[in-house]
Amino acid sequence: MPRLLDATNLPDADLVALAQEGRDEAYRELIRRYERPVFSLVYRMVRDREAAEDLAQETFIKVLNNIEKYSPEFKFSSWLFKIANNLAIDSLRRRRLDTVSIDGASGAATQAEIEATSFEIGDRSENALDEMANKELGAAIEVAIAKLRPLYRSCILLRHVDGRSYEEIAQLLDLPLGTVKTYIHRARHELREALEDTR
Amino acid sequence: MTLTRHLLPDELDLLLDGETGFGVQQLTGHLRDCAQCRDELAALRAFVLDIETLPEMAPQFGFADRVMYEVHVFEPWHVAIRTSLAGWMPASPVMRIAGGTALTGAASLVTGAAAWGWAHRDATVFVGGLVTERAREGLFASLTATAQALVGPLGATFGSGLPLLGLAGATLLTGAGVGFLGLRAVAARARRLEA
Ligand SMILES: [Zn+2]
Repeated sequence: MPRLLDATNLPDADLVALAQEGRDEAYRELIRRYERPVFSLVYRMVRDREAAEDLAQETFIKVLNNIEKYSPEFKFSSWLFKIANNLAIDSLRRRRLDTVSIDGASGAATQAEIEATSFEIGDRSENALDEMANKELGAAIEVAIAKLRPLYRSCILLRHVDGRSYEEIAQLLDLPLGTVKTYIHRARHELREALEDTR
Repeated sequence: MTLTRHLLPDELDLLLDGETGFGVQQLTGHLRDCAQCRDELAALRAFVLDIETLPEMAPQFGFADRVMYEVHVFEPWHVAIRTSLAGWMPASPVMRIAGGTALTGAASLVTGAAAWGWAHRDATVFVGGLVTERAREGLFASLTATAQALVGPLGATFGSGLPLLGLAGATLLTGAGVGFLGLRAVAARARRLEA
């Protein structure tokens, strides 16, 4: 039986290396370290607790079951967030059948971009979210973020909630750097406009 | 050259992002002289800070267990071998020292015997040859006897071909037995790892 290790102080890269050697503690530490950020991201993307729980779980299962394929040239967390974001976007696309869809982003050039940036939110959840907005600024920001187009939402969450760099977000979302910057700037402006009344 | 208008939203974004590229100097120059744009940038910074301080959310209790239930912890072969070898290592330091001493003693004995054998290699070769010859004869005789007992009357028909047949059969049987036991050991180890 291998010696028990104190995984809490190890950098991600070392934890991944240990997980690749089949060390259970390393797997668990990676989950402990990222369960909250990943859950927060997917929850803010899909706005449904149960769905977010499933998506976060699916993210970790996918990543950890493929840990031997991880290439250390990328940050582990970038890989994790990329999977989480893709699953959340896919889930939103699937949900679109019973949601209202408004035109895509004004800067969207291709059909794929329009689809990816189109704003979609269920009727019922919108009412519930509007009620929340009256309570406090934090809740109002959550509501405003939820109303952003999915790709704007991903960008703003990754940049300002998870603190990722523009370059990392571009890599993570497979988008050109300039597009990411534009999306984040537009998202900020949309958020500020949405929050004008609450301030 | 100084800017004769207020900063545009995109320009404020550039400053917020800490960009340093071409044209930014002109923007910072304007910022120094214009209180309105400074206020605007400060408001944008405060707004971004509001987003950045949104609380983190936690999944339900037992999340890690639910994930690990679906994850197959992968142990590469070289790690499995290392782990197995580590299993042979005694836990207590006293036992480790005792084990080490015994191993060193055994190794010395073997080395000594080998050195002696080399020094008296003529005798070693002679005794070795004798022992090998006797062993071969013994094995051959017992295999022939076994084959004759098994095949009985047929032995008489095929005569001298039988010992060879018996030897081949015995080798096959031994091979199959060892293979079966080996596979069982591998399967048992895999089951233990999965558990
Ligand atoms: Zn100005």
